[in-house]
Amino acid sequence: MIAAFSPFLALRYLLTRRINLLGVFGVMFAVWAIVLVDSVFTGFVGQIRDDVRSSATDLMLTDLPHDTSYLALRTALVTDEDVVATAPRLRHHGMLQPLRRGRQDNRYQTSSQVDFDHTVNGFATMLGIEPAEEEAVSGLRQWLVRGPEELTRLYTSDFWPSPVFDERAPERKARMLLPNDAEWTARRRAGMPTEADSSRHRSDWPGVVLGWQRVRRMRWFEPAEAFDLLCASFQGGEVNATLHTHSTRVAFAGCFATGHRTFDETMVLMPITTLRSMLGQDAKDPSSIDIVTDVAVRVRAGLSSAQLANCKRRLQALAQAVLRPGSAPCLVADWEEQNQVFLSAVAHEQGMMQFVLFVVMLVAAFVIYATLHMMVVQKVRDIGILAAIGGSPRGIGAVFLLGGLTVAVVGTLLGVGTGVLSALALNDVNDWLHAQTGLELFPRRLFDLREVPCRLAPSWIATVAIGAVVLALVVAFIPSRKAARMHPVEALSHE
Amino acid sequence: MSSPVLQAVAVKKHYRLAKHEIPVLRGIDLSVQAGETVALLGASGAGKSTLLHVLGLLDPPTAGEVHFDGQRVDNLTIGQRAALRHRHVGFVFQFYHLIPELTALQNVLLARMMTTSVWQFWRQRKQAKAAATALLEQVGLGDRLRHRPSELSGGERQRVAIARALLAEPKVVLADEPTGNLDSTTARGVVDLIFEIQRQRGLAFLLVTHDERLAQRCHRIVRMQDGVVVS
Amino acid sequence: MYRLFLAIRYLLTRPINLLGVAGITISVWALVVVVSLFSGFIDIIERHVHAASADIVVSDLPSWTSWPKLRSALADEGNVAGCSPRLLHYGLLLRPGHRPPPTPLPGRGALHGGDQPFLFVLGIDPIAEATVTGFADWVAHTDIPADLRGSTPTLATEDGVPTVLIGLDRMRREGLRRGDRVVLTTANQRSDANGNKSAEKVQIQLVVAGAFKTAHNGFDGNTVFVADATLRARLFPDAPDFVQEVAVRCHDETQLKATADRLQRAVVRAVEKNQAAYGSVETWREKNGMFLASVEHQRGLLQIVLIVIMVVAAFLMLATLSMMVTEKTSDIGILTAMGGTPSGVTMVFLACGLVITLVGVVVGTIGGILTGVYLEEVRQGVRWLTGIDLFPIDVYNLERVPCAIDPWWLVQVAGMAFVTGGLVSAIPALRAARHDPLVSLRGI
Repeated sequence: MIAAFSPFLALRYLLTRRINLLGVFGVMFAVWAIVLVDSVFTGFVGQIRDDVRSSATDLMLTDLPHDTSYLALRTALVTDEDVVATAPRLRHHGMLQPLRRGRQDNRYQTSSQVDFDHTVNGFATMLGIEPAEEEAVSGLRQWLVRGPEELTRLYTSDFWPSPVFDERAPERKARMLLPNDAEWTARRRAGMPTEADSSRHRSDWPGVVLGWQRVRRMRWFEPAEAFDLLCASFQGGEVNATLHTHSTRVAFAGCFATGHRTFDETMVLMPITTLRSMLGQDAKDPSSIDIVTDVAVRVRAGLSSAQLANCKRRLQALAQAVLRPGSAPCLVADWEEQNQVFLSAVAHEQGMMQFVLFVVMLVAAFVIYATLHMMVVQKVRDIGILAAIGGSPRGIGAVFLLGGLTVAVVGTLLGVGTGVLSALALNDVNDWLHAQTGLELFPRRLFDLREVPCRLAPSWIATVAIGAVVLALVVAFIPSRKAARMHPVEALSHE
Repeated sequence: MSSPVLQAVAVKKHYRLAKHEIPVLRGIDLSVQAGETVALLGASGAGKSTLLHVLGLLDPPTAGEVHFDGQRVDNLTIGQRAALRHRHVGFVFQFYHLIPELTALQNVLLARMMTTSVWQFWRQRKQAKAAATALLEQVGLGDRLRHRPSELSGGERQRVAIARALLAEPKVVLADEPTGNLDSTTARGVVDLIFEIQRQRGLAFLLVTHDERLAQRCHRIVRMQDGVVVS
Repeated sequence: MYRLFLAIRYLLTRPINLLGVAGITISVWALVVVVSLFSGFIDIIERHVHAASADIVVSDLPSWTSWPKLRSALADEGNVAGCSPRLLHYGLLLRPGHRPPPTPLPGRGALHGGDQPFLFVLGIDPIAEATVTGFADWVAHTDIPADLRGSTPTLATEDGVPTVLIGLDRMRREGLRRGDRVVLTTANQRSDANGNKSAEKVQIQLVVAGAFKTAHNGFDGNTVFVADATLRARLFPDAPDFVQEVAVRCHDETQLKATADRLQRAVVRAVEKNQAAYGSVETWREKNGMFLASVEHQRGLLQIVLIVIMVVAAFLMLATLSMMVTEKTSDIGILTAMGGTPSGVTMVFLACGLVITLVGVVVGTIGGILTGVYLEEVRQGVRWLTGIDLFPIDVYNLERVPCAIDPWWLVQVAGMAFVTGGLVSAIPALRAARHDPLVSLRGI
């Protein structure tokens, strides 16, 4: 039970002493800074994680031995009740050689700049996909919407969406062929021999969809621009595998964007049949197999993490049973495991910031301590009076504890309020500052962002608010205990 | 009128100053009957105020016993002593000891808030306010309810302190040189008020003073010197 | 004199002022430690990048570039100490009979590359290169074991097969030894008589001459060296004077930017054709600008957040000093009564604030420097206690947490602290001066 005089006096003291406003401001400022900075940081990290998630599939069967056939794996995997769809994936390292005329030739490959942005050079991770199946397991459709969006944002004029996945004829869709007239126009433009009339032309170059950043760097804007893909691969058995090189003429068939930087920079989406032929497994050859390096898996929506873990274990066992005996264990990776290295590099950056924010809160708690301590020192005689007219030590201590609590609660509420408001207005402020002074607090270009991502996590705000109040209570406890333990007679005779 | 409401039995009180034990009370026996007025007379340093604090349970005795209404109270816990002090003992100090942030009315009301919980006080706040107002009117401050201590004269402040001491309807009022800081005219008014209320309510009244004339108005005079009762 | 004396007396008798000192100390400490850590990190990255780069690089050269002409244009510049021609290409480096794993998933590969067969091939003249970059040291790096060390002179052919120098880490990971055969697969653009272009597959057989190691793992992992003649013979057989890049070393490293600007004009003049400008000249810092800028920007953001600590510490000092003024009202009265002027009273409290700031700055700076120097030990301690890794050194391939204490930054922090401290103590100090001495003496 709290005696009525404790809250009454606490409020009186606070209202009559302006110095306590400092405590309120201190807490408010600290909470404001923490809410704002962390919402921006959570925004950055959250956006990166979202983009990474959208580039990944629910599960990915990977680390398969070379020359693994898809069909057997698929047959095994779809027996699991949680598997909704599967799609074959084939990854291989390759090179991309444009066939441009004019002075821009070779420009993109002649830089020894040691950065790891592969869009400026010819390196490509060729990702062979089966369009019809791929649509069912990954965000392919969204990637193809987002790619033109990103380029439209940069170049103001609308960038054309890729038509290859809307192709009706399954044969043509599987090879990601562009409409006949598009390829015909491109051949004409490039000065290549072609039919006199576009209606008599049949598209022949397999379509290739590039990451939007690569499209931007190479300034490829017209559909069906031709380039060559090259790769080297080992064909044959384990011991006497021989090195073969292969090149294929392909057509630029659109751009994609997942937002996952590494994915968008390195990946080149192409028909899996074309890539298989390059690797010596031509579909026309009866002895060829439908090789894959990964199998993308979509699972039932709404699985709990425990169910997902179980599913991963089951799928791993199913797949392993199909592989050649003695094969190294394959891996079934969820979206985070598919991006382990990348995500852990991102996560590390948050530690430092949280440490700094904790120090901010600590100093703010000092302000509360200082003001309360002073209050106790100045109110020594009042403490004596309260004791004389029957105040219990607990009640007297409560006066100061409640004072500290009020300061903390008011400061926290104001801080959360201003923090949330300024987080919401952050982009406007940033734009305004940029327009007025040219100064940009958050250089969006550096991170390729449309706007400063700002995510208000209610759980984090609650943590900060509760943390601030608890910390304030802890520091307020020290002066209030001092008040409670004061000897009434000495207090009364205090000057 | 025969049982002592407040009684000190062989009370000793020492203070420690650095390494020295300084005896202030060296064995005091004193009893105050219900409705009795007692004056404690003595030079400064005789231990009058200390005895008052011990009897008012502000300060526990080093040795000896304090009885209230026939029950030993010096060995109670701090909380119990605070509650007892609140219900049965009213203090009036030389320097008034009002809380400067509060108005006269709030200072008096504070006495009601000491032991009631927030909820209880909220329910009976009108009653409490009426009682406090009545008391302030009785001490002649009906028109000064909303004034702060700094806006009141010395005599008025002491009247507020008296009203505060009386709000909880104590059995005993302990006054430590209540007129020590007032000029003689104001002092007479305050003393008249105290004795009038004492008579009306039949309070036991223990008055520390070194004013011989003021002491003469009490039923009994106890003289102290160097921590012992002389007569 | 009495002012300072009183100020120090007041401070010493009131432990609460320690809190003000603590606030300043913590903010100064945090500013010094966190910024030094980031500066150290940036320093190391810059050092690593610089160690693997030439001072200035001329690139984007057109196909008609003539090396003798370009060299004389560059040599006219006084600051140029030497230059070395380079051919540059990319390709897949594979070892016959050793099937590499498929490329890693995009989120599982090494952040700085180097774990894939794809790499840049630098065709160099070893003698010229050694005069311009640290090439001679890279080949003779002490980490390279004797059996992987290249013979001198490097990059000569062995039994008629051209040789290649490969990064030490890649050599180790792939189990390569000196004398092993590797194949570089690449493409070259060819035009037919009609101007139609196509990609020509090129395979170059190479023999491993040895390992090299720079301080920059990203460079080592993604680059191999061959003799420029090797690349020229297979890729540019009809262009004996052609170069794609020129590495330039300067006498005065502080003048790189100005030198680069002058060289840019010289290069444009040397290779111009049809009034169009070709070639770009960049200092090593500009060349790696994007990467360095992103780390520096992180440091900038942290600085802003750290200044928040300073502001909260200012609140703290304002609180303690205001209360001191309130509490010392009677002293102010006495001072004024004894003939102290209002400005004298102001100075007493201003001095209090400045002494607090001074102590805070000194303790914070010393603490910050000590923490900075022993940061690795601190990191290990924190990780041992809480499991939190404050700075992931493994990610950046460092041995200890980097830390560079910049005296200029210390001065800036101290200045910032004194300005805040001064402003914050001025408010209560001025209030003290305005006090009516009579009110003070009455003590109400």
